[in-house]
Amino acid sequence: MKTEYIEKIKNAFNDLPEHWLLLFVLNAEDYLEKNIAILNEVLQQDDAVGVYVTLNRPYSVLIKILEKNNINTDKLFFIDCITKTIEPEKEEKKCLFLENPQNLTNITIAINESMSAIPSKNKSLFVDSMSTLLIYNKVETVSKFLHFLTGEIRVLNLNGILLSTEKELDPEFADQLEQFVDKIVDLSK
Amino acid sequence: MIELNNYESILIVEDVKSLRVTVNDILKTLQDKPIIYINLTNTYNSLVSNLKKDGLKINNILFIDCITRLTGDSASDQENVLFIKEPNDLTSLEIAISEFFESIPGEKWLVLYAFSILKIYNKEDIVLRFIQSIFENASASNAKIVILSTQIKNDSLIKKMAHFFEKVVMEME
Amino acid sequence: MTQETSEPNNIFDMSKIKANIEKKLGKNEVIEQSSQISEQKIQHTTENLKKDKKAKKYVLTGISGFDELFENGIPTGSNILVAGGAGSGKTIFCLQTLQYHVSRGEKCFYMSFEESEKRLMEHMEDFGWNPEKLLASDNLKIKRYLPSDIHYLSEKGSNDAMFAKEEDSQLLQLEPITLEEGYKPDFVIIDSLTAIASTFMGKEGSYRFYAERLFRFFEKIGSTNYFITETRQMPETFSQTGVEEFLADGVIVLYNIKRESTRQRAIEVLKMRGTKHKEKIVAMKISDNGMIVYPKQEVFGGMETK
Repeated sequence: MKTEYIEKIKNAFNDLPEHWLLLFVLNAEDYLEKNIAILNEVLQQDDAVGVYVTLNRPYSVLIKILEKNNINTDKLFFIDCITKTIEPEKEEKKCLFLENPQNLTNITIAINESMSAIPSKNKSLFVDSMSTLLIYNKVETVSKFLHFLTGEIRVLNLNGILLSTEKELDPEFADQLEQFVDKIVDLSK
Repeated sequence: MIELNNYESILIVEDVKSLRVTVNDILKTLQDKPIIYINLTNTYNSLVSNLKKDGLKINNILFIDCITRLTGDSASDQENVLFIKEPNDLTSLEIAISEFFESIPGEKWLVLYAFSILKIYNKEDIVLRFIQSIFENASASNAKIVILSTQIKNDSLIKKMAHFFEKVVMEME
Repeated sequence: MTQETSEPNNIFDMSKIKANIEKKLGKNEVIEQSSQISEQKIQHTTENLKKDKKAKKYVLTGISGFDELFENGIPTGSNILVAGGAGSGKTIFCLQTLQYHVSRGEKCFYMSFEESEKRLMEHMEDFGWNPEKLLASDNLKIKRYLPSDIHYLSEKGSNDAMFAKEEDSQLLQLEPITLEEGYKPDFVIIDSLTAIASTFMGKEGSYRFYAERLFRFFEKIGSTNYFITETRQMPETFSQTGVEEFLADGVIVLYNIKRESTRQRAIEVLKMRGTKHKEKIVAMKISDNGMIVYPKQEVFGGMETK
């Protein structure tokens, strides 16, 4: 089972434009496992670096999980939209803490600023996850935000990985989202 | 592949994967015809790069890019692309389309991809009025229209405008 | 295999068609492209403006990102409304631009009808702008005004502006406020028109008359003036009576948008005569060092008026 989805992830990166944008649809049960496999695949190249926007797990928890799974977190800069909703943030060199997942404007500002600060031509943005945005924002607002964000990704010549839970959970939103990306990789089955 | 020349206006509703193939097929088929191409999912630079990779000629196309300026990017001006501020600037889009139609004698085409994104930025009735105005401009100028869209669940907009078109192709999985 | 031809197609010259469309669109594209003011352009513009007396003069605010909303800057001598709801950042906007001009040796005057001088200095201190140093430079004056200071100065003595009437031709010759003899500031902040208007409660006609005289007064002085005006958080009118936004050369609106349990700050240049400007509500933040505007940043959610 694991080898199956690993193979699917590897194949997802074939036949893509120079700067690509992918949507991975995952199921809730093995979301984390597959997320790590995707990260692993993207960060393999020597010059690959990324900005990881976490809406699901606080930075302090996420960094431990990633390091435990041998992800080179030195290649990642984090934007944590969740910690401040629970507790005051601690100063972290590799992480920017935002007030809450509702403020989509601040999220895009943070992404812009982080991306400008990273000196590499092979930069990727990870957004974990699209579905969580919907808990805090209306569908229309998130659709606009994602349309804008995907435009930014293209204009800034970045790569993008958007993670989402199973399509059935947010059908209308998923239909809109599908149009913005180069490829949809369904790992939920 | 639908026989484009048989119809004045065509609405194609498909899943996203098929839609991407269809729009490229349409551009290939219309390679020698003047086209105004409005793509609401991709920037001009990214789009042209993909089209050239697929071996398509682009000198017959006037691209309308509604994304680059939306992100605040001041990409340099190029001959065959018009940058519109954002997808809710339907007035500018309409002006661009009608001016294009009037500037070219004979057969010309409007290809609009992906229509459903207009709903993110505009109310339904505004979008419908916009479509109506495109049809008015097209019929006055002997222009042909192809609109491509994916079907968004719980969205009635496609159904409300389908009757405008001479041919409707709905192939959803 | 298809090849892109390098020869222009005579039947449909896309560049010509595009030029026609841009003409019809009234050069909106041009505004977008040229509204990005880089640091070099700011320097270049101010240097050139000093040399060329015939050229229209513009001023900048010095607020990070805000000046990029203009093609050149704010025309010198403009009367500008700075409108917004409570806590939207109006005072900070004005203090920050004053701080910028004072540090460049320009004379600035803060007329406060609400907060005390001490409180305003504390605001500046909070952002690290060293108000004492600015005051000591003699380029900054802060003065608290009382409602009783709203008067007309005539040869016969003060006349209460509250009793002024539009048809009173004598009052047309009088000054609505007094400045120190010989004092000609380059920049003035009037904080706020709302406070002034509140002293005219029940006498809206008199207030309108007074407001018009006030705007003319500052036009005569030649200073660039920012009039703070309090509005609702999502305003549809930007002044007490509406006449002020008609009289003003420019209107800058600050927003503090409610989104569920949080707020999102934003700013826009609603109107500015004499210069091209971006027509969009953009994101804004208030940091420890002052206001930062993100001229390219869309504001998501909360702007709906329904």
